[in-house]
Amino acid sequence: MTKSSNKVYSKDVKIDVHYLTRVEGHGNIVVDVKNGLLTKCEFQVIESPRFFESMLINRPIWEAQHITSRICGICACGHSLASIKAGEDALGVKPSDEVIMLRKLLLYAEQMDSHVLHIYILVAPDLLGVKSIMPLIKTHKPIIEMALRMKKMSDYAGEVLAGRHTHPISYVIGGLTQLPSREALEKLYKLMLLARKDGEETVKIIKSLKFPEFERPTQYLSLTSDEEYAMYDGELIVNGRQRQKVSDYKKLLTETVRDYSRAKIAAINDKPYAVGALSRFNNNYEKLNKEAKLVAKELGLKAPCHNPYLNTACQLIEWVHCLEESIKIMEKILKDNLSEGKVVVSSWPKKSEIGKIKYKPNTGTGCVEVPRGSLFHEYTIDKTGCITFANCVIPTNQNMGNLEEDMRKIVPELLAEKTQEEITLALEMLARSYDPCISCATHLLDVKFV
Amino acid sequence: MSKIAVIGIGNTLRRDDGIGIEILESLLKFYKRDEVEYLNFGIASFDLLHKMQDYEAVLLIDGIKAGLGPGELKIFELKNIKYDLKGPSGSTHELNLKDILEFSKKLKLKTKIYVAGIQVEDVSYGDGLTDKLKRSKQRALDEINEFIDVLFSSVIRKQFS
Repeated sequence: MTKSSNKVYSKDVKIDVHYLTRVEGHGNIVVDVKNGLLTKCEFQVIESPRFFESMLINRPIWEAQHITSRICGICACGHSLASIKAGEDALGVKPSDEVIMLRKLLLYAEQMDSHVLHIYILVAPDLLGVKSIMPLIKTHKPIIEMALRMKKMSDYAGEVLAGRHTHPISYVIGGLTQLPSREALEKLYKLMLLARKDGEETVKIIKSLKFPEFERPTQYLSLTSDEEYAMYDGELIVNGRQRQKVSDYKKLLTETVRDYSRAKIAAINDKPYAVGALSRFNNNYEKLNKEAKLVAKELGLKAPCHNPYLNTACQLIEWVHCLEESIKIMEKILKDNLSEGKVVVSSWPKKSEIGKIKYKPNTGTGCVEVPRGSLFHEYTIDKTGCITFANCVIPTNQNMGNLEEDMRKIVPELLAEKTQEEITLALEMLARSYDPCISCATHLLDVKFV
Repeated sequence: MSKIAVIGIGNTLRRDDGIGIEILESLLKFYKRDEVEYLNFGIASFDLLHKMQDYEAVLLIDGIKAGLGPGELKIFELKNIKYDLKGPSGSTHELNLKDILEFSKKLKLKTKIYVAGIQVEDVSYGDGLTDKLKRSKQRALDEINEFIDVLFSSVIRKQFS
C-alpha cells in the first residue's frame, strides 16, 4: 500500500477500465484507493495465451520464421528476424553483409510503420482531447492523410523487400528467397525522399502538443553497439552500464507469472525494467544520426529521460533516424546493385538433402529491437534440425512490471488534485505510451496443477 | 497497375468468418482475370485503407451479420450504407471492417468501394465453413463473378468515355 507523501487523503477512487482502447489486444486497468491509500494497482492482460512456443516443438527450424511471424501483424518482420537470427545461431550460418543490409532496411521499415501508427492513431487523440481518430478526420484531415501516406510508404517497403509487410515471405535463414526488383526499389527510394517533408511536419505537430509530466527513473534495457544505433544487432545493455551477451540473456532477465495476468512479467536484478524507444534513446543517444539528434533538440529531449509518456516522442526521433538510415542503404543498393549470389538462398534444404544432413544439436538465440523493445527468440534443435525447445521473450511482457510501478507512483501523485475521471485518463495514456502489443505478450503460459 | 481490385477479408480459423477468403481463392482458381488484382487481406487492418487508394474500384468480400439467411449474399456500394459507430474504436491495430470503411467515407476516397457481404451463421473458432455456407458458396461465387464483369465493363467504359 502506498501513501501519498506523508499525507493521507480521505479519498476513495475505484478505477476499472475494461478493455483499454487504442492499444493492440485486450488489457484492463484496475486501481483501488481507500481513504487515500492505494490498495490495488494492476494492468491485467486478459488476452488468451496463444501457445506459439508449443507450436514450434518438433517443427523444422526452417519453418520457425513463418510460424512466429504470425505472433503479430504489426511486428511480424521483427519476429521473423529474431527467429531467423536464432536459427542461424543454432545452425552456425553466417549471412552476407548484403543480407544484413536488407534486414536492417526491413527492420527500419517496421519501426517507421509502427511508430507512425502509434503517434497519430493511438496517442494523438489523447493529446488533442478526443476519444479516437474518427473526429480528427474532420478537424485535421490533411494531417490524417499525411499519417496514412507515411504509413503507406513503410508498408510498401515491406512489400518490396519481403513480399509483404504482414507476415513476410522472402526473408529466411541465410538470406532471401528472392531479390527485390530494381524498379520497385527505385520507387521506394523516391517515396522515402518525399517522406522527409512529412517527418518535418510531424515534428512541428508533436512539438506543439503537451505531454503529461511525470518521472520515475527505472532500468532501461536495449541492444547497444559501438558501430551504430543498435536495432538489428549488438549486445544487451542496462542503463548504459550493465552489459550482457544476447546468448546469456537469461542470466540478466527473469520471467514470472502473476495470477491476474496472462502475460508473464519480466525483471532484471529482481526489479522491473523498460524496453522500447525511450530505453534505446537513453542507452544509445550518441549513436543517433545527426538528423535524429536535431529532432531530439527540437523536441527538448535529452538522455536520460525518465518520463514514460515521452516514449512517443522518442518514437518520432527514431522514425527520422530510421528514414535517414534507410535512404543511405537504398543509395548504396541502387549504386552497387544487389548480387543474387550473395543474397538469394533456398528457404529449405534441397529435397535430395532432407534426412541426409546431420545437424549438431545446439541452442541459438536471436535478439532484435522491434518497435516496442528488445525481442528475444531462443531455440534448441536436435540432430534432425527440429526444434525441441523454444522461448520467446516479448517487449510488452518486459514492460508490464514497469508500467505497474509507474501506475503505483502516479496515482498517489494525482490523488490530491485530480478527479477520478482525470486519473483514469492519465492511467490510460500511461499504458498507451508504452505502445503495448498485448497479443504478442500472451504467447504461452506454463500451467502446473498442484 | 490494375484499375480494379477484389479483396478477400476474413479469418479462416473462425469458420464462416473465412468465407471472404474462400470466395477469393475460388475466383482465382476458376474465374481469374488478368486485368483484376486479387488480394487476400486476412483480418483487415489499416493497410487496407491505403491499399484501396491505388485502385479505381474495389470489391471487398467478407462475412457479415446483417440479419439475413445464412449464406445470403448482398452486394452494395459503400456510399449507400449508413454506419453508426458507438463510442471510440476498440483497437486500431485490428480495425474492424466497419471502422475502415467509415474512415474511407470520411476521407472521401476517390476509389469506388463495393462490398459483397455473405451472411454468416457461425464464427466460433474452428476449421471450415458451416454446411449452410458450403451449400451457398457456389451461388455466391457466381453472382460475385458476374458483378466483377459488370464492374470491369463500367470502369473500361468510363476510361473511354
